[in-house]
Amino acid sequence: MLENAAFIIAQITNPLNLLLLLVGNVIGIVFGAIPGLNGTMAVMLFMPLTYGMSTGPAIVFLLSLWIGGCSGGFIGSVLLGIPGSPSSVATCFDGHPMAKKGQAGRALAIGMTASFIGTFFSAVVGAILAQTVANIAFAIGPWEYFGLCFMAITMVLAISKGNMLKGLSSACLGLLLASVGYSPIDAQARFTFDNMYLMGGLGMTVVLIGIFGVSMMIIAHAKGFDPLPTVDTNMIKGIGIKFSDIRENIVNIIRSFLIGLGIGFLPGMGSGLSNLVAYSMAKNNSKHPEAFGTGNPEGVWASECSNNASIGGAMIPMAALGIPGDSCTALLIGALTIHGLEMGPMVFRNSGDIVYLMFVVVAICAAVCFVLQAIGMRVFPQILKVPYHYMYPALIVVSLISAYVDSSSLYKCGMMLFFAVIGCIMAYGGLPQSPLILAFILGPTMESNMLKAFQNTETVATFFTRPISCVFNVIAICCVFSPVIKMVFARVVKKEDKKVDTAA
Amino acid sequence: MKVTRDQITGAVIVALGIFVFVMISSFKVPFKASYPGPKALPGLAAIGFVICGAGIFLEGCRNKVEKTFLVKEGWIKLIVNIVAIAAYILVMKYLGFFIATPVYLYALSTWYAKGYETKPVTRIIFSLGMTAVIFLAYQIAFGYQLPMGIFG
Repeated sequence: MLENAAFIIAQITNPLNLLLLLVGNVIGIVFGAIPGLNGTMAVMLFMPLTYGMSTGPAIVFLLSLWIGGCSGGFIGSVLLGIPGSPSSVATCFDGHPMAKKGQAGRALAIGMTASFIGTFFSAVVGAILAQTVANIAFAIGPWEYFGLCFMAITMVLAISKGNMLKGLSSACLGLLLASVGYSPIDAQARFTFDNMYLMGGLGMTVVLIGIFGVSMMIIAHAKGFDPLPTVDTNMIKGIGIKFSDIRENIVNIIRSFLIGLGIGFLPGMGSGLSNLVAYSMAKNNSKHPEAFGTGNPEGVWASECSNNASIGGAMIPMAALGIPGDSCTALLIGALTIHGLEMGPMVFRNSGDIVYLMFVVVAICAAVCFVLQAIGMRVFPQILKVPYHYMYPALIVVSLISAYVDSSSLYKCGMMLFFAVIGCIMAYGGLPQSPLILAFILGPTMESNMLKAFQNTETVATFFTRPISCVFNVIAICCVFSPVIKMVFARVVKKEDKKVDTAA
Repeated sequence: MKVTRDQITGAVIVALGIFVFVMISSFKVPFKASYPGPKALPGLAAIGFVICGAGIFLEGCRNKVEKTFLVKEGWIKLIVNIVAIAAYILVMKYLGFFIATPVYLYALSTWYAKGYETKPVTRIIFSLGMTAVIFLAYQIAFGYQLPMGIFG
């Protein structure tokens, strides 16, 4: 990396690049904060602009859009309770309740600090380990991917707030929705009803905002609005949190960082999964798991640190193998190809300077986002001062327009309304939403890897004879049966206690 | 006999599972132990629906005490909200974004503000202002073409 230092310094001190970095971060944060928009969409929208630029400025601009979008996702989750993107779904669980309790500033400060830690250090780790770690990925096959997806879905059932059957039903609904459209490998049309809009599957924006956002607003109005919390921005000192907050959560931060880095590294997985897994792990390892979902800062630390740590993790396979870590890195690979950069094992030898520039730009973007959010943080809570009778109608319209722009079709708005109704039915039945969303996001990856695995070995036994795959699948099965295991243990303990009492 | 929410939910989930089973039975690629094919994922969901739905139904039979989800007025609000969104989408299809959006925003903010002190002028400014912001953000700044209806 050191031999490329002169090139990297020249690029990052170039005034045009600095301007592009700043503008890209601001646009990215705005895209991340607004429900329905996200960093991926920002990259997609502004990518054509970079075609006329040289490679350095193009990389700086695209990466700053991506990092800004990832970092800004927590703002909508905290202030509105609507995730800007799948990567900030888990931030809603505790970030929004914190805002409702009048701690919006603190939740935002935790979000931006965790985002900075996750992005900055993952970029550092990525730059150091890219070449070495990439080799390990060659050992991971479809059996392991399936096991990881299966484990992730079953682990999230831990956040089903007590009812495993309802959590499982919700996950099954997610799998069903994920199977709409043509199946992988066999191209069998499933649940399309000869409708061309369903052939390509259900759009993530439509499902996510319909079930999570619109239904939430409709039910909130039907139940009657709670009084608006007041946010005293004068109470926010410095960045709203103290250094001791970081120290108290250091284990949670490190664990979430490693989860984010690891999941981000695996191709096809990204921040959409890491935030939910890290949240689930934080809850399971907390001294007060019952406080999760009610405004526990630990949940925000876990979610935001992990989803941003996925950035550095996703960059490793992107650079070293040419395999996208998530949808945004897939776009970046396409954009870089246009600039003459073929990502893959050879890129370190042919264009090592550009690869290391990417990691440095990501680290700088993390710092710039942190500063921008620290300056703008006192402005973000003002959104909560907007009365519900203005905020909710505006958000419903923005959600519907987001669905429309997804494919320039009002049919998508109708689909969003359908999913809003599904969200209302789920709320009536007490079905949790997060297992559905996780199963919906992971369903296609899980299915295609399962089918690839069967194509290779034609037996289910291989899922348990490969060590890593076996570990993932056994954990998943244990997660499914954890209520039964707990019940059996509880009965045994109760019997023992009775015996002791009788003897006494 | 009182029917609980869990009983209704369980029954609906079981019915959904049966529906999925019927649907996947028409898939051409067969399910085999050596290669489960396209039936595997929805089939797994269907099995889950039937087992979990039955479990939720039985829990509903055991536990008859439950919180009220919505009062009668709440149900009316919920249904009106859904109908209003459907009407908004339909009006947007024929009359376009610029007519449908301010009308919908004004009507919804007036209804949502019931019980609060608001002035019609404020609501009109909000409706027109929000429409303008969406237009500027999506169409002017980001280049998305918003629905124009018959004016397009």
